[in-house]
Amino acid sequence: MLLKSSRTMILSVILLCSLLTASHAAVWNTLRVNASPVRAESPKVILQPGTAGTSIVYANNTSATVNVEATCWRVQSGTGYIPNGETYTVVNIEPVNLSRSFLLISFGGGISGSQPEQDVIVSGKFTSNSQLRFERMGTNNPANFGWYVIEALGNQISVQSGTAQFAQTETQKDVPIEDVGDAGKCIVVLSRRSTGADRTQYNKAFVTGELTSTSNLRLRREGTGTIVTVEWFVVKFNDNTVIQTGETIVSTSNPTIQSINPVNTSRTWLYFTWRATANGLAQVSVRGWLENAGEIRFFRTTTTGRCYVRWFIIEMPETPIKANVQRGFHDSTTNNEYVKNIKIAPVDLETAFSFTTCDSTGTGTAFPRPFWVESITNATNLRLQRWYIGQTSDHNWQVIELGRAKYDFVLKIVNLASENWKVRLRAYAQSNIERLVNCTIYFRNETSISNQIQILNGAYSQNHGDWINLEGSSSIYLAMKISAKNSETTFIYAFLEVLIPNTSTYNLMLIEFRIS
Amino acid sequence: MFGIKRKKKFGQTSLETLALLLAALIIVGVSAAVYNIFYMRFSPVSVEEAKVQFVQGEDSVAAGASIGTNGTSVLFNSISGWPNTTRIYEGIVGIKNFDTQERNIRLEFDGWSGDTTAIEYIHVKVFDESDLQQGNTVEVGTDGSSTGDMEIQAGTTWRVQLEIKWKADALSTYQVSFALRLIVQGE
Repeated sequence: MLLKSSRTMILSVILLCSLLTASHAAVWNTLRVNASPVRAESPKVILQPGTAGTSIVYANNTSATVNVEATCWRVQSGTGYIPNGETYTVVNIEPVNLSRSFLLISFGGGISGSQPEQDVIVSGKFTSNSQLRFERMGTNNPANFGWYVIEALGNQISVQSGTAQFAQTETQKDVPIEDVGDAGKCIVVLSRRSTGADRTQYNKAFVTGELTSTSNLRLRREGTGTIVTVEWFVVKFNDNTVIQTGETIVSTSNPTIQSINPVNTSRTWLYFTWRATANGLAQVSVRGWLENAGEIRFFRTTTTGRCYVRWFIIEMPETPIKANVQRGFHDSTTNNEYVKNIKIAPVDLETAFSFTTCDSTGTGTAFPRPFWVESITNATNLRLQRWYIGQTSDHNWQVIELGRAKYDFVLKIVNLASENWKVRLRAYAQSNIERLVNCTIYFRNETSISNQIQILNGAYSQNHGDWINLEGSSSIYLAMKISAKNSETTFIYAFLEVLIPNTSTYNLMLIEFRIS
Repeated sequence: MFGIKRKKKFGQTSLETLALLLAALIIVGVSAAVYNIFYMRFSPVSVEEAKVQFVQGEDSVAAGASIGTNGTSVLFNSISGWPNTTRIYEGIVGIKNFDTQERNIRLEFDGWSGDTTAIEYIHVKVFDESDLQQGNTVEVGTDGSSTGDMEIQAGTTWRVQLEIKWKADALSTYQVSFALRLIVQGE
């Protein structure tokens, strides 16, 4: 009986337990979320096409693709001086690729008094990929100079460089170089220093350079008696740049006219070196300019002696980025000028340099009166400066902007509503940004700019910007500045974030940047 | 002899008991006519404050949120978006655990209506106080879409983020409605 009862109890417990298992679900509470209605509304902030680059704005003006081209050049520049008592000074620069960079320099003496060439004439070269060395033979008084480092970020140019020295008795130096393949695609850029210890033989320090074959650089001067050291650069253009070169004698005809094959003057610049048979301010001072599409001219204020001008016409290609050359004549009416400021159309300092030549009215040897240092001091000013006044100099100047990939207006961002919004740009994806040397995408209006996305040396230094006020019924512009080291294509995908002030509610409008 | 008889009786009794129980179960299961009434008494059944409630988020005003009494429901009547643009309400509403212990919660899609074909997506995400997304993204319009169970710590408030994108051809007259459920486990 006891057993029977026990079994019945066990069975009952099992049954009850099974019932408990079935019925013991967790206790749940349900809270409701309802959204009604959720509306589609017309965009209050829209995108509109810009005038720079090529932009495509899609349906509803809420997304866009921007196509732009990157600059393939970078210019670094500066001025400096070799201190009194020193033969050289060094200048540190941002690292460059030496096989794609060359150096242009100008010099101007250093005090308001007559100086021999060993103290005045300054040469320049690279001592490493991040350092320049400027040098003279003498040590008296400071020696001022200006410089431009012109670097191709792609393979538009190949550069060879070196140092050659004229012994006292030499007027010609042949320098073997690596075979350039096509001498007709090359220019020769020079600077030099001299041991001349008085002012009577400046002309002997004027040197020309030319390629006599694909593997020989010939340097020449007129006269002997000084040791002249030349820093040379052979720059070969690998792109569609067209080079013309020749030697023209400038003597009794002023101007001397030299015909050339027709060029597009807006993207062509003139570089030349010369050697002089006679000493004197006017005798060694020759200025030159591109008169028109088929003619260059040279001018001195004297007919004494000869200048042998080795000229190079460099016609930059139309694409991918069109170079822009400004040029002009700046006359001088007073002989006590130290500085000439020449107003130029705005340039991007990172891709612009200048090349200026001048004549001189002096027939004596009061050097360094005709030597001027040139520099682009801001986007709209070319500055010429000398340190020893007397006699006037007229100048022919050129400002060469090597592809200005600055797009002031790629998109317009318009607030159609009366209320204020805030906007910013945020990059969220990308491809092949490693090729970008410097890329800045920024907002701008008439008075200010705000950098939003920045890429330096292939990596983001900033992938989004600060919130910018977009006031009711107003607009701002999206602008870009880009340089790249090759001709590939980069994509940057970004959201234009449009924020309702005092909330964290915002809209994401997709903008694709295609940088070729 | 005695032992054999007793064994038989024991076996028979067991079988009889089992049969009786089975029969009783069957009868209870299928009989509509016979009822046995067991009483369950609930006393008192009290009202208590919800342990997990909706609270205002940073964007609740922008979204037109009306949080119901006791924080157990919320209605949004001012959510909108621009065609071909993602509108994000980072803090459309908050979920706060007022309890002194953690709670399991789950947010899930319940239903929607209206011009749903013009919607490219509506995503709902839950973020903790460290701004880390908790659970899965709820895709409005996908049956069964849920964050999955999430454990919200005592005293913490999580934010609910709503992301909506209308297709490029959506007209400004279009609208949809949708509902979500927040399931909170435990008393």
